[in-house]
Amino acid sequence: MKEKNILGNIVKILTTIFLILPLAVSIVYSFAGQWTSILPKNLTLRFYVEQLTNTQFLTGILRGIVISIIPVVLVNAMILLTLFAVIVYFPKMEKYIQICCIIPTTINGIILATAILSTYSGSSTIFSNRIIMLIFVYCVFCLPVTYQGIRNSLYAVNTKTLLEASSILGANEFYGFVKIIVPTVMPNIMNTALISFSGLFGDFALIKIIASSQYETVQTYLYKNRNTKIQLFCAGVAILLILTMIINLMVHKIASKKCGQTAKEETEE
Amino acid sequence: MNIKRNWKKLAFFFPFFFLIIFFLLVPFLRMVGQSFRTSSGGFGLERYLEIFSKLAYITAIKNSLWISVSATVIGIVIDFFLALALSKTSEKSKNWYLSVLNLTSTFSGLPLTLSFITILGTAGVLVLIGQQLGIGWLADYNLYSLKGMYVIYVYFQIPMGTLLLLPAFGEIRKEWREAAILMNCNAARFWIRIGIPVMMPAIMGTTSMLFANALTAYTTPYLLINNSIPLLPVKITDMFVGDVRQRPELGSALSMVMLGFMLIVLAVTNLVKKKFEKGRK
Repeated sequence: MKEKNILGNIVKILTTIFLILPLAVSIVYSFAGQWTSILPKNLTLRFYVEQLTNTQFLTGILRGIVISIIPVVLVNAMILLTLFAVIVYFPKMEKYIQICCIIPTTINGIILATAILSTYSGSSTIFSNRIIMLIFVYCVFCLPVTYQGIRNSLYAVNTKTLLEASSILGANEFYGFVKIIVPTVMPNIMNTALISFSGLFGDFALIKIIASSQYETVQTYLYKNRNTKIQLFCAGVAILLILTMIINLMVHKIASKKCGQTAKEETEE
Repeated sequence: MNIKRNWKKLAFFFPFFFLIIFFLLVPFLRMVGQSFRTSSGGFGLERYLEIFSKLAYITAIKNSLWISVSATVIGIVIDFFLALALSKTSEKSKNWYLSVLNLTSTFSGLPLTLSFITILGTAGVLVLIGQQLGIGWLADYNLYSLKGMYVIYVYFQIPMGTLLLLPAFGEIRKEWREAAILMNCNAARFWIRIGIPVMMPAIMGTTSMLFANALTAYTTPYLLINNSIPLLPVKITDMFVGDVRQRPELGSALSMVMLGFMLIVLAVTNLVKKKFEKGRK
């Protein structure tokens, strides 16, 4: 038994080193003035200063945030409307909606992106605009996670019964849905929304295929400047990493707040 | 009246169906149709025959399958042992490991590949250290090859797979383990006869996800080897957005081939899953 634990510890430690190594080296490198022998030399912050005063980098981050938020908001609104109608009016539709939302896990990423690109790029419709195309591709990309998250939380609060109750009291069902149900499940929605957001913010492949040079986010900026000073892109990677960590912390905070809330409710009861 | 009222209710579906029809169904069906279009505009298997007769495409398929199958197998083995070790860890250190896994699971695509260039690229830190200390394999490490890139594929299989597998270890009840020990069954035998079969559905689900993930990975090969070594995702996108000659029909057919491999793996893992789920309820 004892021997087994030693083996387990070895597995844990080795994989953790493997996982952390690229991160740690990049972060150390971003502080190094020079790293040509075993240890880095001349530690400095100037690469961070340079990167954070670079307007291209900063607008890249901003553009990345914008292009990731729009699809997340759209897809959440779509799924909320759809599931409202499913729960209240057409319970039999649920199966089909679920299938539609699961398909993008198989027909994913580049297959879908190239298919959409070749369908609309030459057309004279509004879809031929690369940014609009990208927004909708991102919407499809977030579909599975968003559907699963919202579905589970809507069933957890027993939407149908609550809406029936509110309609007995004279409120219109949709009004009740917007005023009562959506605020109740908001923490859950935020949670899955942030997960989708961080997925989109970290995307390079889809944006490269669809918008290539037309919309430069921080990812494409780093890609274009990958051959400049290695420390600069390490600093860029580190800044991106800190941003994702902040998003992750927000997810955890919302999740724990939610737990705290339900615990409080239970004690009040 | 009835139809009119239903129309109002159906309106809630419009945005969703708009997305599904215009950005999932139509492009997909068009891609399927395009893959069967011959150069004369008729219907036929010409593109598929071309794929399976030209060396460049056959190598791309072979390379893609090799790297995704082997990275998935190695990945699932590491994930299994890591999740096993974590399931025995105390709550506090488990949380620490979980946050490492969560952090590294978001660390993918471009930043991940750039980081690996920093440590193992031509002037990478580890390569330099290898040269200074005279460690041959490290000094000559070639990240810009199929085998060199492999390490990144294994890297991104670990956090996701482990996080997916970990809940399944909760299904292994402590009493089973105790009962097995009482009957003089050692750990290896316990896992082979009881543990792994019980976890098989979760393992299979994770396997198909890891495989799809590796097969469709685009950023890493695009940055590291681009066209010097053929791989399916890079070949496919080149057919649509490449600088040389765009051939969307052939690209569609290649996409279909890739999708076919994903569906085969999905079907096989689902079959195995079903087999092990039998008699559960």
